[in-house]
This record gives sequence, C-alpha cells and structure tokens, in this order.
Amino acid sequence: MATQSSGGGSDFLNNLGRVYGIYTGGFLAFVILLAVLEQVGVPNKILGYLFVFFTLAVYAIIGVLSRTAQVSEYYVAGRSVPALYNGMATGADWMSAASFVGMAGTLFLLGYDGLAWVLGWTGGFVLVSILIGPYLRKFGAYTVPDFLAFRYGGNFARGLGVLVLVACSFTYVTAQIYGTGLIASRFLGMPFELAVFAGLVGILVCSMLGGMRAVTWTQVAQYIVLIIAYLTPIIILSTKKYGFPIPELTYGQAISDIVAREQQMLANGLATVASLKPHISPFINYSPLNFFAIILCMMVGTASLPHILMRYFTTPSVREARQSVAWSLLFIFLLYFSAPAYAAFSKLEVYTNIIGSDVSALKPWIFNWGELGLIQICGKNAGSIDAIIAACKAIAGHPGVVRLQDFVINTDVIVLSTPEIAGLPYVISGLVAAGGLAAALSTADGLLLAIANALSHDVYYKMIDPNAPTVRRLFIARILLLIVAVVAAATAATKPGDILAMVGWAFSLAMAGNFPALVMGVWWKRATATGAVCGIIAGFGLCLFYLVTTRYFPGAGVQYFGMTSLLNPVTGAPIVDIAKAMALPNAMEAFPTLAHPLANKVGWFGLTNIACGMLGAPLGFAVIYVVSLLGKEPSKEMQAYVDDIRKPRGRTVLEEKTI
Amino acid sequence: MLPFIVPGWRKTGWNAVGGRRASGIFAFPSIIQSVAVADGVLKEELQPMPDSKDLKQREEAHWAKTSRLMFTHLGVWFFFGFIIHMFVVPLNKITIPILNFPLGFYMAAQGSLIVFVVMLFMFAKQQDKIDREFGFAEED
Repeated sequence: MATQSSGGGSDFLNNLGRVYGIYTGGFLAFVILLAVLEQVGVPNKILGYLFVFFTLAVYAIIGVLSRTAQVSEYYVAGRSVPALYNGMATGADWMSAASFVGMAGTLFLLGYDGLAWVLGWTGGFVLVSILIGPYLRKFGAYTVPDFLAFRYGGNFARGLGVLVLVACSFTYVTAQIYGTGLIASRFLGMPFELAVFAGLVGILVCSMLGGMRAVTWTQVAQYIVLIIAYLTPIIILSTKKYGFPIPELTYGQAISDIVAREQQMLANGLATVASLKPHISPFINYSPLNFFAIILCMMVGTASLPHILMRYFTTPSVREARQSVAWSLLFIFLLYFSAPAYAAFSKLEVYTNIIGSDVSALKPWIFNWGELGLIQICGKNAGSIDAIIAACKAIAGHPGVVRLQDFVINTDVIVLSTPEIAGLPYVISGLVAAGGLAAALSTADGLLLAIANALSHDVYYKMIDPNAPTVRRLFIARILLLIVAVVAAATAATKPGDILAMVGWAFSLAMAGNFPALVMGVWWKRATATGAVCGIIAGFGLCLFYLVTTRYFPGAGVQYFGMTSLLNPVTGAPIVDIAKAMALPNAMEAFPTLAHPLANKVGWFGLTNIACGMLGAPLGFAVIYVVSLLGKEPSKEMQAYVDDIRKPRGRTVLEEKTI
Repeated sequence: MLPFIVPGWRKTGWNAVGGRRASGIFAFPSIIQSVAVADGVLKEELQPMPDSKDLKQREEAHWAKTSRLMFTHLGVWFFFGFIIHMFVVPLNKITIPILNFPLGFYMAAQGSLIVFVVMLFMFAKQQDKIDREFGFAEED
C-alpha cells in the first residue's frame, strides 16, 4: 500500500525533529572542532579533506541506513515524507552547484539583469503548487511519464514523456557532476578527472540502495549543510562591516555605496563608460524582451522539471504536497535572497580595494585565485605580483593603478572567495566548499534518480516487461542508475564546453515539452490523447529546433530559416554583422565552436535561445487545443478520472502493484 | 414505422461520423488507451452512485471555486513576477528609508520573492478550506 512503511522507518519518522536536530548540532560542533584544529596549526589541506570526508561519510551512512527492498519506498519514499522535510529535500534537490557557486557571481557581473535568474528560479514554485504538483500527487504516479501515459492513452505519450525527461535531465546532471569535480579538485587538489569519479561514488552511495527514500533523507542533511555554509560567511561579513548580522538588510547600504563609487570611478578615470555596467540599472545585459522571457522560461520550466515534480509524489497527502511546495520555496528563498548580498559586498570590495589601488599593493588572496586563472588583471592571470606589474607595464599609457577595464573575475570566485575577502579563517572556506559539494551532490542525486526511474519504471516495467517481479524491477532500477551515473560522469570528465548553457536549456526544453500537456491534462477535460501527443511533439520539437539551429547550425538558420542577429540591449544595434559573417568561409560550418561569430547570436525576434520555451510552449498549448477539438471527446471514464484527480479525498487514481 | 426508422438512421449516421473520425489519424491513441487502462489497478468506485447528481453539483461548485482561486493567485504571481518589474526605472528613483535600497532593485531581489513565499502558504490554506467546504478534503 502507498502509505506503508517499514517498522524501523516509522520510528525514524516520529523522531525526525530530534534526529536532524542532533545532526545539525553535531555538524556545528564538527565545524568548531576544525576551527580549533586550525588554531593549533593543522594544515589547511587536511582541514579540507576532513570536511569533505566527514560530510560524505554522513551522507553515505544515511544512504545505507535507508536501503529498501520495497518498490513504493524506492520510487516515492513510501509517500511518508512530512511537508517540512520534503520542503528541505526539494530545496537541496533544486539548488545546484550553479545556484550555490554561480548565482552570486552572475549577479556580480550582470547587476540588476542577473535578478532575472533569482526571480525565475523562485516564482516557478507558485505554478508547481497551483497548477500541477498536488494533482499529480493525487493521481498517484511514480514518475511524470506515468501521468502522461494514463491521461493521454498509453505508451506513445509515455515514450514522449521519457524523451523529454531524459533530454532535460541528462545535461543537467552532467553539469552537477562537473561541479562536484570542480569543487573537489579545487579544495582537495585532486586531478579533475579523478575528482569527478570520486564525486560519483558520493552520489551513488546516497541513491543506489534506497532510491527515493535514501535520496530524500540525504537531501535533508545536505540542505542543512549547504544553507549553513552559504549564510555563515556573509553573516560574519555583514556583522563586521555594518554591525548587524542580517546581510539581506544591510546590503542596501552596500548598493548605495556601489552607486556612489561608480560615479567616482568614472570621474577619476578608473573606469570608462564602456567598461562600467551600473549595478542597479536594468536592461543593460538583456533586452527587456529577453529579461522577461528568461524569467518566464525559468518559472514555467521549474513547474515542468520531472526531478522537482516527483519530489511532491512523496508526501503523505495532497494537503501536505501543497504545504510542502510552500516550505520548499521558503528554504530556497533563504539562499536566493542572500545571493544579491554576496554580489553587493564583493562588488563593493572589488570597487574600493582593488580598483584604484596601486598594482604593486594588491592583497594576497587575489593571487590564490589568479593562479587558477580565475582572476585576470591587465589581460594576464593574476598569479603573482611580478606577473601583474609586468602585464600592466606592457599596456601603453597604463597609470600603474588597477582600472575597472583591467580587472576580470570568474563568476565562481565570488562565493568561494568571500571568506578570504572578509579575512575569515580557513575553516570557513572549507565549510563553503562542503556546502557547494552538498548542493552539487543533492541535485545530481535527484536528477539521476529521475532518469533511472523513468528508464526502469516507464521503459522497462511499463513498456518492456509488465510482469517483472519486484526483485528484478529494483535490480534493473539500480543497474540503470549506475549506468546513467557512469555515462554522465564520463561525459563530465571530458569538460564539455557548452555544459553550463545546457542547464539553462533544460528549463526551456522541460517547459516546451511538459508544461502544456501537464496543465491541460489536469485543467481541461476535453484535452485528448492525440492533441497532447501532437502538442508535445510540436512544442518540444520547435524548442529543440531553435536551440540546435541557433547554436550548432547558425549559418543554416540565417540562410534557410530567416534568422537575424540578436540585438545589443542598450543601442538596439545587431551584435553581429550578418552579411559579413555569412561571407566568411566558415559561415555554414556545422557544430561550430562558441567563438564562431554566429553561434548563439542569431535567432527570431531577437530572442535568446535559452528562452526557446517562449516559442515551444505557446505552440504546444495551441496544438493541444486545436487537435483536441478536432477529435472525439475523451471517454466518460477518463473525464471521471480527471474529476477524481481534482479532489484530494479518496484513493489515488493509479494504484501500483507493490508485491 | 417512419418515426422509428428516422431516429435509428440518424443514430447510425452519427455513429458512422464518430467511427470515421476515430479510424483516421486520431485512431492510434485510443487503441493504446485500452492498454493503459489495463495496466494499472484502477479505482472501481467511479460508477454513478444514487446521489451522483448531488456529487456532480458539488464537484462543479468545488472546481469553480478552485479555478477562481487559481486565477487570483496567477494574477498576483503575474503582477509580482512581471508587471512590477516593467516599472523598475521609475521605482529605482524611490529609495527605501533606513535600508537604502532602490525600490525597483529591491522588488526584484527580495520583494517579489517574499510575496511568492507568503502566497504559497496562503494558497495551501485557502485551497484546503475549499476542499473542506465541499467535503473533498482528506481526513486529518
């Protein structure tokens, strides 16, 4: 039965507060212990190893303790996860390495325009709760394709659902494993390829044995680590600078200081109008169209991503599914409303203490990151003072002080370097690394499980062998999890160049492929199987076509599909001269590198390809509507099922065999 | 005889139209549909019950109210997700006292986010109230 749980499990469920309270206290005590060790002279490298291994060991222990042989435990954690804890698990599932490490850096670089990502990655939960999540919980599916198959007449719709799921989750999981490798290699000094496979082991111990149940309880533990790690440095920084420990309130002062400093830098010749992007001015990096298109695509994509939707299959009731979405957003909000504070504090630090300072008087933390090629000054990696002095001398007419246009920083550095900027002990840096690792691992877990479940439940069990016994289903599920994980890690180890952009694409693909069919499936009884199948193909197809053409076949896009150059958001001028670029010998090259003059720079209506869901989803809705009306009304039984999904009371529509 | 034949003819005529539709390009999902119904163990208690008329009415009223709530929340979501940020330039001229944030920036960085969080807790409560009102809520 759906709500069944093993004897040991319910004991655990009754004591969740105590268990995680002790865990949090233990973690804090561990951090303090390491701080003491640092004071007595234990080297940084050992502290870093202790951090990573301790946290990984805890996740592994939770993973092993949560092993299960029950199908409903494996796929939906026995539908017994209380709203609050499911909210935490969703928070960890949601916040990836990109959110933890990259978000603040994006806000640093883009200023106001970067807030499109903050808005887009939070507002989507409103759609999850209102339009989709609780209804899928009532339906009683194990996976999102399960719902599509039932509502839209069988395995063809199921196959499309699996296709969309794999398309939007695989690149995403590859990016997470890549992030794991990056953090492990930076803080432990391992070679990147080795670190990727070490991270893989960390991911697999969490999910192999216990499926959703194990992933849920490790994700709660990972959320606690990641939020402590994210907030600690910035709270200390805020207290030091403004005497008040709530950085989200004090960074308003930092912003007004930044605005004042921007004017000052222009007046002193430390910045040119071209190099300075005012922090609070909108629509400098994105045109208004693209700004709002990105917000919409990220929001709707949130409500369509299978690894997020399936988290709400695990709550005990529909009511708790709704509450759980609210808790999820609260826990996610804690990180996202702090990210702009990181950006503001770092920017103020850079603008006041680096820009305008003498080239020979730079602070030592800069060189730690410069050595890794993450900070450049005067066009060269800031590896040492001598290197920078030489590089700046080589520039004609350089005044000997760092100007804004001389300084380039990688977005990943902002969060990772904040402890050093604030002059905090190394233990805080180690904490941040552990938090970043937790963020990457937890998201990777959720995504891997989503892919492996779709393959084992939807493809193997539902489409290939519906009579498979439980033992074999779970065996297949675990083997597929392993295979998908190894393939993703092998892909990540090759350091594919497009990987980060692909995370953005995942949202648009999910939006175009899943959103219209899911929403219409619940909210419009008249939606037919044919309509939905055509709608998914049309919407997903158009979005995929736009992505692939603008990125990999831009010449063909211009030549055959009437694409034009994207526009500069400030001047409104085209960013590439299409006629000139098309005259180049490599204009029609397929799969060009990112440096190609046309790659990612052409499109329709000046729409960036990250927001291709803007084209696909409306088409999907329109096709479902028109084709459904052309066909026969769905059967009375199907309409009754839809009525049933809409009422929380009663049994789930789909009851899985669990024996 | 005629009154008997005509409705009968009409009836088969309608069926024929439906049949032709079903066997055209729209046919394949309906074939698969029967597979889908067979492949999970489905809920049986869907047959019309004696008080089905009352149930039907309750279902409709419940869904009307649910839809209204959905549109209200979508309206608020759209306003704080999009509309307000279209006015960022004039809003940035206003500075929040004490905190020193330009208002336009603040709304995108925090204000809208707070609204979303509060909205979701309110929605969970309101929808539950509607479900209870029509007797469709789960037992506590």
